[in-house]
Amino acid sequence: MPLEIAKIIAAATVDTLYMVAVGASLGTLFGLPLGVFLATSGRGELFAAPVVNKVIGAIVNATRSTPFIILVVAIIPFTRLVAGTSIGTTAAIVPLTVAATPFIARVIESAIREVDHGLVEAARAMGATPFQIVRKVLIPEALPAITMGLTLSVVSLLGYSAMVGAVGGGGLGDLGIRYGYQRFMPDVMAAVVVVLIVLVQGAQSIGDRLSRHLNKRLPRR
Amino acid sequence: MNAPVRTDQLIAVEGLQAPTPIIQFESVSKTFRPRGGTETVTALKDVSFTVQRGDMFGVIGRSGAGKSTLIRLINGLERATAGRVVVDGIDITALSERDLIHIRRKTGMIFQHFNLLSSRTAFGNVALPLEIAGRSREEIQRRVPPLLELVGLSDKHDRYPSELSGGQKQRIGIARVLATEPSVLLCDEATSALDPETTSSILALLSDVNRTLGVTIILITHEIPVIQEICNRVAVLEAGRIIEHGRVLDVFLKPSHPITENFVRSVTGLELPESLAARLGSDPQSSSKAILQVTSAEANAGTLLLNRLKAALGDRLEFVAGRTGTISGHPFAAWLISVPTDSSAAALNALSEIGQDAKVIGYAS
Repeated sequence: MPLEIAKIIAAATVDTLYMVAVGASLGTLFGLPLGVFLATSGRGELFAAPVVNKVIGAIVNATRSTPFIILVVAIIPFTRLVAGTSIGTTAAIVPLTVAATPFIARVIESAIREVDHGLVEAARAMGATPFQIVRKVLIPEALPAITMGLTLSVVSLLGYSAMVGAVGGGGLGDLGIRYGYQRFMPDVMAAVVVVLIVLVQGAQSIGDRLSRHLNKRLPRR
Repeated sequence: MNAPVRTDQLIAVEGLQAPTPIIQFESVSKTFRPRGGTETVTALKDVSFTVQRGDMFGVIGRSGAGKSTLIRLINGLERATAGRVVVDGIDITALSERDLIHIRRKTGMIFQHFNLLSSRTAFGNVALPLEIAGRSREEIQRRVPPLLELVGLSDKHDRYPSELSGGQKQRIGIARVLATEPSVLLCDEATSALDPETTSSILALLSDVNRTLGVTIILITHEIPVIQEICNRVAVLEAGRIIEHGRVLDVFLKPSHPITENFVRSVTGLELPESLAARLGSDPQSSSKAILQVTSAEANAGTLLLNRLKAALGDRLEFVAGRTGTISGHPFAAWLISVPTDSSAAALNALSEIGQDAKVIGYAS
């Protein structure tokens, strides 16, 4: 493979990592409070607000059921508003974040719902406020599951990031389509796939290790 | 006027100190409406009782009797539907969730399944209520080690709950609950998940906490030995109502309700062998033997009863069932004896002369 191609692949990899890292970070920033709210605002729960819970749940579901490629195109005006442009790697972060937020919210909601209700009761019996319960009990106890969920989200985002080529987002997916498919360069396509496989494997094994390290439910060996 | 007070008077005064109530239930009822259902379920109905400061108060009942609901009304984890719950002079049924937080910081709770945070070490778990109460880092560093020492787990401070046994986890639970120096400790089936030996050591620790720290303890359990070992007062809960309550010794030796009788039988051993129970009748005429139930709570109950009965009846006495032992630290004897029908009056007389309770429960041939 010519050096030039290798350079292009390296640059595309950096673009992908940039989009996914920023998209996942922003998605977590917005998704974490949203997920905590979804998990604690049902009837009779810590921050009981069943109606708001239902509305937010519906919005989250609507966003998640929109195919990503359609979401990217549909929110172009919003993307332009936020990023100043609708083309390029940085602009692509906007739809990625919009897609990641509800995904991560659900992931965090389910992780928090897994926390033993007895711990919440114990904290209430100690006189903890609802916010203290979230901060000192729910999030720390759900952290191993949250880590697994975020890993899952990052892997999904790697997949999504391949589609932002449609709006000139760059990255590995874009490269694969433009060089591998449109210019009939199967070796580039293969290289792109290999790099993506390595990235997914890497993300998954880092996530697994981190989660295992955080999980104190099993005795140390 | 200022006559010197003699020491023995002081002791007498202390011994007779008027009990002060710390928890009062006044006609408390609690109903639930299950999610999506229209009918209400009654968990507690018209429950009234008083726990005195320093008591070791047990509530016993079968599963579903309403014990969990009852104990959760004391710290407001459940709210009463009717009636008043007064804790340390404050009617907590009138408090908002925000004000309840202060009550909860004075009333600790320990649980059947310990409810320790798996993500925190033993130290971290004991520190949790202090963090919640907003204590400084220095204070936490200072206060946690003595608590771990009190429960005998100084060497486990950096261990996670998954690395501890059930008994050790409950000890951490107890250290955690004592961290905020509560005046009331609520125990929700605290020993039900433990083996008998560990149960005894946890009960001993609770008893110690009650005596040395003066913490009032309310515990709910379905295990009668728990009440027998450490409680001084007991309430029997059945289908949401308190069917009997009083001093453990009184309730155990003179149960007034069949459900209570069932509960205490395993302690007192007042149970006729099946063959005899089948033959038991109420007609003294056609029966040669009378079955007497004799109970005593004297210091030397066993010897006292035995000597008296021997003196009155000689060898016309047959021991059928029963036990001598201790109930909440007091010795007791509870026996079923068989005597010839024509000697039963003499036996009852002999026992009443020394102030011991006895009654004929039936006749057999």
